[in-house]
Order: sequence, then C-alpha cells, then structure tokens
Amino acid sequence: MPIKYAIATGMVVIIATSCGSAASYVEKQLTNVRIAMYLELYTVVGAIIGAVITSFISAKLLYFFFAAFLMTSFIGLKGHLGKELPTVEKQDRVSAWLNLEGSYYDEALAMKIDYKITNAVPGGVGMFVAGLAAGMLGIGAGAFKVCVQELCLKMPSKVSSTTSNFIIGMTALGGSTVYLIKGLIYLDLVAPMAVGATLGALLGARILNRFRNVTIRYLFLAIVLYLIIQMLYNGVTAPW
Amino acid sequence: MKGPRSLEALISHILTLGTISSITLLIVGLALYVTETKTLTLTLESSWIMGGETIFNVIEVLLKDLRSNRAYSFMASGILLLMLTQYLRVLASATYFFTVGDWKYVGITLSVLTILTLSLLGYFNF
Repeated sequence: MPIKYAIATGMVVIIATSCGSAASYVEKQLTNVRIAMYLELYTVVGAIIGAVITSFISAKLLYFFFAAFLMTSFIGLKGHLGKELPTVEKQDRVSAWLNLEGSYYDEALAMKIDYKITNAVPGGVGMFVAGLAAGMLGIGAGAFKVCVQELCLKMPSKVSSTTSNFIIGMTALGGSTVYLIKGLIYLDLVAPMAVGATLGALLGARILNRFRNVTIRYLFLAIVLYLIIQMLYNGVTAPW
Repeated sequence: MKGPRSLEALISHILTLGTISSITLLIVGLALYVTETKTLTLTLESSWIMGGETIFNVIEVLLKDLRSNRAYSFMASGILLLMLTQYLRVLASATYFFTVGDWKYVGITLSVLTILTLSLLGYFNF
C-alpha cells in the first residue's frame, strides 16, 4: 500500500482515539479546554500545511527531525523525573491575558491541584511544529505535544497528557480533511482500526487518574525512547 | 452563572454521543462488509475509497450508494460522523464563549472553525 494511504488512515484513526478518551477526561476536568483551544489554533494550521506539503518533502528528513526533537525532549524530561508537579512563579503577559490556568482533582495525590501555564507564544510555535509533523506523517505527534507542554508551557503531566489527547483529535481532523478531499481514505482499512482504537482509548481513559504524575512521566519516557528508535529506523529505511 | 464546567459538560456530551453513534455505524458497516464480501480479509479495492472535491461531494457519493452498497454507506457515515464530532465541539465551544462574552476565545475558536471549514470545502487541495 502506498505510504500516503497509510498516513491518511492514521489521521482518521487518531480522531477516533481522541474522541474515545477525551469525553471522560474533559468531564473530570483533567483536560484544560481553554488551553487546548488556544494551542489547537497552531496545531490545526500546522497539520493542514503538513498534509498539503507531504507530496513535496521527503518523509526521511522529517523522521530524522522528529527523532532529534524527541531526543532533546527525552533529555529535558529526564531532568524533571522526580518532580510531581511543575511550579510557575510568574506567568508571562500573553499567558496571563489568555487566562491560561486551571485546576483539577488528583486522585493519586487525593487533593485539588491549581496550576498556571507560561510561555504561551513559544509553546504555540512548538505546537505548530507538532501539527506539521502530524500532518506529514499521519501520526498524532502526542509525545511531541506533551514535551512542548511540559518543558515549555510548564503543564502538570496529567493535564498535559489529557490536553494533548484532546488536541490530537482536532489536529488530525485538520490533516484528514485534506486527505479526504484528495481521496486517500480506504474505508475497509480505516473502519476496523477506528473501532479498535476507540475501544482501547475508552479503557485507557478509565485508569489514567489513578497513577501518580511521576509514574506517568516514567511510562512516557519509555514511549519516547521507543519512538526515537522507531523514527531513526524509519529515517534510515525510508526512500529519499 | 455559567462557569467552565458548563463548557466541559457540553463538550463531554458531544464527544460521548458522537463517538457512540459513529462506532455503532462503523460496527454495522463492518458486519455488512463481512456479509457482502464473504471475507474477513481487506480487499483494499478502489471502490472502498472515500473522497470527493468537497465535503458535499463526499456526502453526495454516500447518498447515491445508500442502497447499492450498504457497507460503504454505513462505514462512510461513521467516519464522517467521527469528523463531524470534532467539528461540532469547536462550534459548541465558540457558541459557549459567545454566550459568556469571552471575546478572546470567541476569536480563537472561530479562527479554528474557519480554517477547518475552508479545508472541508477543498480550499487546501493543492
């Protein structure tokens, strides 16, 4: 199967994954809808541009770029491993103007957590790049988004994971509209994958809040490490 | 007074309803696919490709095939509904921010909505 059909399928399946788990996260206020809306503005534009330029740029380059970004994020996140929650002493002006803050009840810590987000503009640029990678590679780029949100925006891990999950649905919609119009969606391939992904996402959403932020970060680092290896492998094996 | 919880409840309802409906349509479509093609293997024939110059063409093809290819229609409706669910949650957010008078976020959500609409209408099909 040509890679473009696989990418288009990936985009639609990501919408299913996001829809499947987001309802539960949003209801529990783990997802910060306001912050997500702001960041989606960047990721949707990135995803559409990524989907449009897929035909013109070698995926090989993007795999290496993605691997390099994840490697720097891996190193950055490793330094924050012991921290249960990030602290923002002072919000920058744009973040304060946009009211980028929130609170949620942490089941593992048995307490309400109030948090503030900072670096709204550089964070937005990072999300644009995440959207670009998502649109070009047919992936959610969720790991990429989590890294931007935790390292740049200083978001707590659980809010970051769930908000990223919420955003990937919209990013994928941006990319998949382009693929839909281009006629790259195979229904008999997409349908079973979308059903499976949704059921898996529903299950995942039920267990996330029972884990500590530190545990989630360890799990996430393992996934990032796996992705680095996969991206490097794809980069080496992909044709120019 | 309406607070953020109303927005979250609204989005949660849209996502739950949209996901359940689209997954139901997809499962029915897959069951019909197995019955009609008499195989569990993916055929990946061009007749199963979903697409069109604009979203309206996609819907037109879907409606045309409603009787002749029921599996296609159910699966295509499921995928469209899945996409529409995400679209609706932005629309609902824009409406919510409008009702509470949060103009900054009305601007942000309307910008996202405009970009998505243009994309669905085929404006980015280069």
